[in-house]
Amino acid sequence: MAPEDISVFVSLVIAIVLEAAPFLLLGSALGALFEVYVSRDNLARYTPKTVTGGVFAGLAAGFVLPTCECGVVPIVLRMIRKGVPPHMAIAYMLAAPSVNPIVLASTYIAFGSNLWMVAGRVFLAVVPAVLIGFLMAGRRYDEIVRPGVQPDHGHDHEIGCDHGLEILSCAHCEHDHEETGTRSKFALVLTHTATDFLQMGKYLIVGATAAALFKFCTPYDILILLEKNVFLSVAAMMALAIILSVCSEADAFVAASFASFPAVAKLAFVGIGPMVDLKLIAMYGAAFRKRVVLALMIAPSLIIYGLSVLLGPFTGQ
Amino acid sequence: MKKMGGLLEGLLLLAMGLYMSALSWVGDYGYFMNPKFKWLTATAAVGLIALGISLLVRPNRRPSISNIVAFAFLIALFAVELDAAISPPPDYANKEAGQAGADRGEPTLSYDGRDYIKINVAELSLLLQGERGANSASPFVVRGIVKKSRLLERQGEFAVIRLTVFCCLADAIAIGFRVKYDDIAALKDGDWVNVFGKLKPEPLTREALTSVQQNGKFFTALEENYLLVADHIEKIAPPEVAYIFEFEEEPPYAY
Repeated sequence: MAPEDISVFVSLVIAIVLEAAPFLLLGSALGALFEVYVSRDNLARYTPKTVTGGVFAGLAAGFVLPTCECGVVPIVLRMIRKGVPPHMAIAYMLAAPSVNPIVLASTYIAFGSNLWMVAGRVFLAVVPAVLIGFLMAGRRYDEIVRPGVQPDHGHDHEIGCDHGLEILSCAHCEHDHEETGTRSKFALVLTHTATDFLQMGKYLIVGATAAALFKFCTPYDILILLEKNVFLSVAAMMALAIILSVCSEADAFVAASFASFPAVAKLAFVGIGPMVDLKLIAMYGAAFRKRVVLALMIAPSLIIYGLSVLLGPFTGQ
Repeated sequence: MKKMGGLLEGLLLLAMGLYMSALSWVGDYGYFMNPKFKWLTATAAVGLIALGISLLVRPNRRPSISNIVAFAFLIALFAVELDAAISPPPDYANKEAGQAGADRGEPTLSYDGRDYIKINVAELSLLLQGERGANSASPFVVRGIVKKSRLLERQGEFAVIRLTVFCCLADAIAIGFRVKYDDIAALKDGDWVNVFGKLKPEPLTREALTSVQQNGKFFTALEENYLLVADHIEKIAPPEVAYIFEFEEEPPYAY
């Protein structure tokens, strides 16, 4: 690498972290608030009892809550540890970064007020979220969450929890934080937020570094050669989305700039990016078991690839 | 030892918050991010400073070595780019410029008695998409960097490009137009120019697009249905804000 390239590399890593940090912090804070202030009883009362109800409730939450992919993982982990069924939480996690109102508005603008592209984006988010949500139905907590996140009872309960556990340290305690006082609760929110941010932030930094390195290896001239073939162009744009790790609020503009690519390849780009990218893979690894991480990488990729190719004839490709 | 690790975690969060805060308030924020997100970074910085202090007051009892290593790496990168956080950004106020450095002066520039609409290449590209292509007959002036390739030169063309940052540097793309011009030899790669001209429908070939790519850097996207036929080209000094951050759909454009 030339000195100029090193400077660009450093700037790229910093830029990705700066872009994601506010959302990761927000997600960590929401997760901490959820942990401390929402009781298991209330949660159980309002959670749909059926799998179908749960999956669609998760999906519906994705449409109204402006959550981006950088912040959604800590929220979902807290939800699962608190007792939200995995099928509901995972459906929310996969759909929310693609279908929230801010992202849909930016997609509308980026693609020249083309409502079909917005509808296509929603379609490519909803179908994998629902299918993978159902795939997670009936799974136990310990089948989803990473072993390192397992309960560790080597701590005291003087302020409710220990705060030094690997991640999401309190959900294993068989108590609700409503039992503690207001000051303690605020302190708990702060320390839980800090712990989650540090833990997830570590993987964000790893993912951002990988994304910046891969960006240096992206052969744009070869990418262009694939544009006329739907099968190859969809695959190429999906690979690019995974490598670039662009925020879902900006990805439509990036996709739109690949003007000569088929519309379905651009849809595949905005479809896969918010579900699978290098920084997200790293964060999934921090939170979920290996086979869940693999499922979260492979299943959306296959579904979105298949749907995009099938959509091709309907968009003139 | 554990307490030391806990304190380190707090210090690292504090350092991250302070860097983000400095970058937002006094630094050259546009070096990494679109300035429209400055408020977001500044808000997050306050949150991180608060979290850092809270960890210093009550450190984690089981600090994670891997957390410390990762965040220490990040702070080291911040140190490499410390200049960006403490150097003031370009002086927009003296340039009739908007928050993100766009030229908000007169909406047109004149050449040879004719008014050309000032517009940036990203806006012109968006304008030509879909139904908004109706204005393509107007004369425009765009500014950007000269990018030459053998293939384009054989066609009597070069590309005028400008890095466009939608959100952060990672999603930046060089957007541009092919320019038909008689005296390409007078221009060299990297020159900043004002291109006064009109749009002419002419499809972009895959070979032409491939010829201007800079692998390992940023994707270059050229307008695929039109090129600019230059009436006049003038070399200019690089603008204080080289990137495009703003996009308007109607005049006055961000230029």
